Amino acid sequence: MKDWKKHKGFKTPEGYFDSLTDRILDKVGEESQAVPENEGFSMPEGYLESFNEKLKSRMEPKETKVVQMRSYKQYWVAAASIAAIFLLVVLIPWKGTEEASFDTLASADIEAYLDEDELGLSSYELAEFIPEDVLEEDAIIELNVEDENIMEYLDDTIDDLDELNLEYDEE
Amino acid sequence: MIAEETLVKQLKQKDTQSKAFEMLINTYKERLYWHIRRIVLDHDDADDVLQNTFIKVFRSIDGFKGDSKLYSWMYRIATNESLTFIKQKSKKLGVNSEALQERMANNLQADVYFEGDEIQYKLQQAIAKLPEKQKLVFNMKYFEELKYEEISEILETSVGGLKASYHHAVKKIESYLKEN
Repeated sequence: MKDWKKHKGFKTPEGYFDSLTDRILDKVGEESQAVPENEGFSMPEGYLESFNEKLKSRMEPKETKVVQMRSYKQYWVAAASIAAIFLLVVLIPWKGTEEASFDTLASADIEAYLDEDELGLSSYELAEFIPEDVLEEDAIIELNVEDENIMEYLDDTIDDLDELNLEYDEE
Repeated sequence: MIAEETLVKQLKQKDTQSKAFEMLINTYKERLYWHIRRIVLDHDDADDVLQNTFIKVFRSIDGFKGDSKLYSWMYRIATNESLTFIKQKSKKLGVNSEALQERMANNLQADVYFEGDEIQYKLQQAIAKLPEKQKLVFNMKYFEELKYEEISEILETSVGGLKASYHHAVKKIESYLKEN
């Protein structure tokens, strides 16, 4: 401490040390002003005072309306009875009703079914389902069709028979 | 003020729980509010997160072992709740967390609960650009004036790492404010 007093040849302005602290603090203050000391956020008035109540109400279990099942009991019983009766009617095989089989189906119904429903099968694919003993090549090849019937068919379906350039055997 | 150990004990006992919890809220609500507000920026969001924080504290108090101080534990919950909130909000809006925080900082001048001047507005924009950890450390050190040891306990990071983060954050903010 005593060493400070030894610099006798030097002088300082009057009151230099008295104002030094303030000047240093001002300087430090100026530098730290680069970043502001607070942010400028605020909150609604009375927010913190009302916070406890708000939190409390959120934590309390909310009362939910209890719906009594008893009042609906009679409706449940009625609905269950109707459902049971319906199931009995549908599921029990009543006597006297004919069991549906392929033989009982009318050909027209089958044809209509094949026409209306898209089976996604070509005629060749359908033919594969026909058993060989039913569909024999001979049945087609040996089929005898009278000339008269052929002419009749062509006459019905073709507008102008001459267009076919048919050659007739002269009798 | 009641000793922390006593408060924790009272919080865990059914008969004293309600009163102790009220004391806990009164002691920490303002500090935690500002801690959360600095992360989420919006008052209504901060209110939501603060409530969630206290609810979580209340529900998890039985699991509090006392390995850290009670307030550090609560600060940690508040920090995690705030970050989770931002992630959920950004997911809803279809942007990432960083983009959302920058957008929120840019919209501060339209917020009725932001009364900052131009420099404070720019400070928030600068903070929003910081990486998450630097942002947290800067706010906790600069505005909340927490000690490095306290921040270390809250964020579960070494003091050395925190000092480095704070140093980087201050440099980035200063340079942003000078440039803008």
